[in-house]
Amino acid sequence: MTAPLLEATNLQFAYGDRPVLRDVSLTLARGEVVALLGPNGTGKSTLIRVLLGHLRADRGQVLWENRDVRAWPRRAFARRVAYLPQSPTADPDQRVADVLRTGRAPYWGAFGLESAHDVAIVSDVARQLDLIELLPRPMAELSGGQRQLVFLARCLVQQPVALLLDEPNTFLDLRHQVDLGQRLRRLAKEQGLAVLMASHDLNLAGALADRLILLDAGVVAAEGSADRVLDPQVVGKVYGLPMRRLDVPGQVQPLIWPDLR
Amino acid sequence: MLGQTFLSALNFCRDIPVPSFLYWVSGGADHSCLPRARRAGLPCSAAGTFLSLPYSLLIVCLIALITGCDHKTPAPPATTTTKSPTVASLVPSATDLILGMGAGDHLVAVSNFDREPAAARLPRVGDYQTIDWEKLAQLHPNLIITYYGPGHIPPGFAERTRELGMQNVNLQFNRLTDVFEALGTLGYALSEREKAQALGGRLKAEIESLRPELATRPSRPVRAVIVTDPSGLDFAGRNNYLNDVLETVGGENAVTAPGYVALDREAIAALKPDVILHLLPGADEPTKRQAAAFWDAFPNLPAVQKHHVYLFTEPYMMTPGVHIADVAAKFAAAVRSAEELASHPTTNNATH
Amino acid sequence: MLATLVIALLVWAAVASACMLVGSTGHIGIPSDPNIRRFVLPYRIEIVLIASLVGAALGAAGVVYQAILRNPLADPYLLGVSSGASLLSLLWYVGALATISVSFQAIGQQAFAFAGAMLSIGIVLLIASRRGRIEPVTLILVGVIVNAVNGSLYLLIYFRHPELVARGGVFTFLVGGIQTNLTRQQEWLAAGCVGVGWILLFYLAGQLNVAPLGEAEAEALGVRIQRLRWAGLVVASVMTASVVAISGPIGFVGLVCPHLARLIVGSDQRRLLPAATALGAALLALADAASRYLSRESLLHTQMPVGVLTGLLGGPFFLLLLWQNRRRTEATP
Repeated sequence: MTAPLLEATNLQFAYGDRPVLRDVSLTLARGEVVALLGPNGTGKSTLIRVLLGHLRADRGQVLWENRDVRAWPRRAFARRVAYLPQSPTADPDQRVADVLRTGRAPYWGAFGLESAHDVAIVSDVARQLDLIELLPRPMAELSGGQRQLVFLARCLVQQPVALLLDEPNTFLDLRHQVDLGQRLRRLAKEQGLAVLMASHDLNLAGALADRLILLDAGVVAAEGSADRVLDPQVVGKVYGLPMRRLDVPGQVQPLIWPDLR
Repeated sequence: MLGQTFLSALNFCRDIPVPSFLYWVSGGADHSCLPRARRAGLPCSAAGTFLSLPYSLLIVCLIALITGCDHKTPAPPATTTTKSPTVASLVPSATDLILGMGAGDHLVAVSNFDREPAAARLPRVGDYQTIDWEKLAQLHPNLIITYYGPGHIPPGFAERTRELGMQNVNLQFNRLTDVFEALGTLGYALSEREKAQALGGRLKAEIESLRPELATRPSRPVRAVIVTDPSGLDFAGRNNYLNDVLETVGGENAVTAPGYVALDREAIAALKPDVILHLLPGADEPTKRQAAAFWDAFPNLPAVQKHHVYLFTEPYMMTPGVHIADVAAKFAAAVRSAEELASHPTTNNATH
Repeated sequence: MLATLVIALLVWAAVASACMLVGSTGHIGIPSDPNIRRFVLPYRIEIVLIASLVGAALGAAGVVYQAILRNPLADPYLLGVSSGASLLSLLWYVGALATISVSFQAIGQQAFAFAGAMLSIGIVLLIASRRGRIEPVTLILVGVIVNAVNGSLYLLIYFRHPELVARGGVFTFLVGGIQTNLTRQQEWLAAGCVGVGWILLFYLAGQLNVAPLGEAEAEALGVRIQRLRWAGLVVASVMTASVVAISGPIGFVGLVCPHLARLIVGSDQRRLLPAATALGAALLALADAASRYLSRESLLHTQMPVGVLTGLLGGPFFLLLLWQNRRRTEATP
């Protein structure tokens, strides 16, 4: 593995006197898909926002390409790292094409002048994600899955090297969850994109991510391959639930499920 | 007075036809598309709709023009009778005085608030703040009469009158003496000194004749209030021409505050006026009834008890102009009757 | 984007030149007498241009306010600009300020109105911002409150000095007509403010696309959202203040023109800004021409403030477009 794209060390963060991140370190390299797991309120969203520089860590360091995140100029940073929030905002009357165009914001010249290149990128991404048909439609007419795809497309239009997603599966059905995960995986493998996504679905994350990071109350409880992290003992302790492993013949990834007996 | 202004503002809305030509504006299908957008597979509808807009707007304008042309009125009649210097009066009181002294042939334009028949045929060119300079430029009077407070002539107004070579005559109509001073100024500016002097002399004499003789004065002056608004809550205080007129005819203003004041019911009750002079220039029957009902709600006021509530609906009641002597006469009559009854309280009871 | 700019300019030019044919005497067309033409036309052209300037500024400011405040009901008066202007323009007549204003007569009521507008928006921004951060919801709330306080102060002064209102000038500042007693210098100053402000807004137009998004999203798209909010609001407010000073509050234009433009060109601010500007300018010029036409002797025989007509013209027009747009979207499932 080459030098990591992102290197965060010993991050601490508190909202007022309520500590959220106690001591988190992580790395992210090009071409890998990393899933951030953990119960609600364990600091996944906060961690992502600290990594993006929207929140300033009380202690610790976030280095993107060996440069502190807060030293990056905003525009330059937006050309390297894209972010998909948990519930992205969209004007219901706005057309899909216009949503995608805003992804080029970090590249626009003065007066928001769009180059031919900007226009070409938008249509390339739209084609890649099969959105051509949707381009003239207003956002209000789209299904939840289509909306999420449009927002993913807006991120890709930024032509980032890293993509940070905050629970992108929240409003998606199983098919769209798998579809999104596979798309992200393909982007990582084919285009060298680094993907970090917060998720609640342990098994799906285990199946699609190269590496899992399990957070527990602001510290990393476990990190590594699905085989290592999805251990009933570790997961059971983090979630406060008895867990057990299911062994399904033919399935490479381990599956884990609450022990409901 | 605000009420009147507001009513006149509402009047504007009355006769405006519904703009039926708006239906011509088409939503427009996508006729055309910017080439680059098409190459990029971007939606074309926005560009297409927008292109159809200029045509729609042009149609709107054309129709507005066509509908306008059939009842086209000629520019203001070139009155052969106008006398030099020509005058545009933006002040109803001044218009009133000019007409009253018999110098109406100087007038070429009046204000928006001139409602008198003699002034109605003339073009209206504006009011204190809004002036139709285009019309003024076309009429090109020699003088323009205004009523701006001292030091409050808008610089833009001065600039424009200079530009058009018009002279500004700025008059004041705050006090009774202002009316006579304005008359003098107008006489001088219009080169009609004799007419102005004649009118001034007549008005002065008429008002003087209403001054009570010292011998007949009652021991206590009659306390009066002058109401300036249909609502009954606005009053003329001291230091204005209405108060001057009242004092001249021997009444005493129960309101001691300077200028014009708004009072609530409790304050009105505390004033205890002997006579109420309610000015309702041009008011119709319902307004009059409403005003009467308003005063009936104060059964403890001496003026109400003794039936000295006077509702004046003459259109000139609030114009410090040529009818100022008539206003004085009405005030005087009201004050006199209250005086009489005040000195013989038993007579009043006997009649009712 | 450039095409939109050019088309918008053409639309406005077409409407404005049509409006220049409407004379205030009820005469339609250019006067034939060359002498009269020389005297009369400059005033007609001037009023069309001033109306356009006011409308343009309100349309542009409306776009920016709606984007930054993330509220489709926002209009350029929401943050106290017009109530502040009205208040100080009333104070121009009163008390100690009156004596100051006599000695500064050349500055005039317009300067007072401008100062009032800026003071008011300054107070709103000061109260609403915390450590330099602006939150749209807080801002709107503070704006509404400051507007109400200004209104109460206005009423207070009005009740203390009813004779001011009898003068008529104060009232005009409430109804909103385009003022006619302006010096050329005042007009150029307002035009300068609006022109420079508009170019700045157009410069920011691309980033404004991101302003309605969530704060984190905007930052992730490379836009310093707080800086953008400050810049956009301050510039749009200065523009609004400078036209409020020469017109008084004219309702409707700043609220509806952005929506009208959105129905026509879509929600991309880079096209929305020129389109709303042109629509504002055209709508107000048209309303002004219509009010001049209706004011002629054979009809109303008086001068009607343009503020009366903006709603009457813009309202049905807007509803019509809205209705058509809805029908179109319902037709395509």
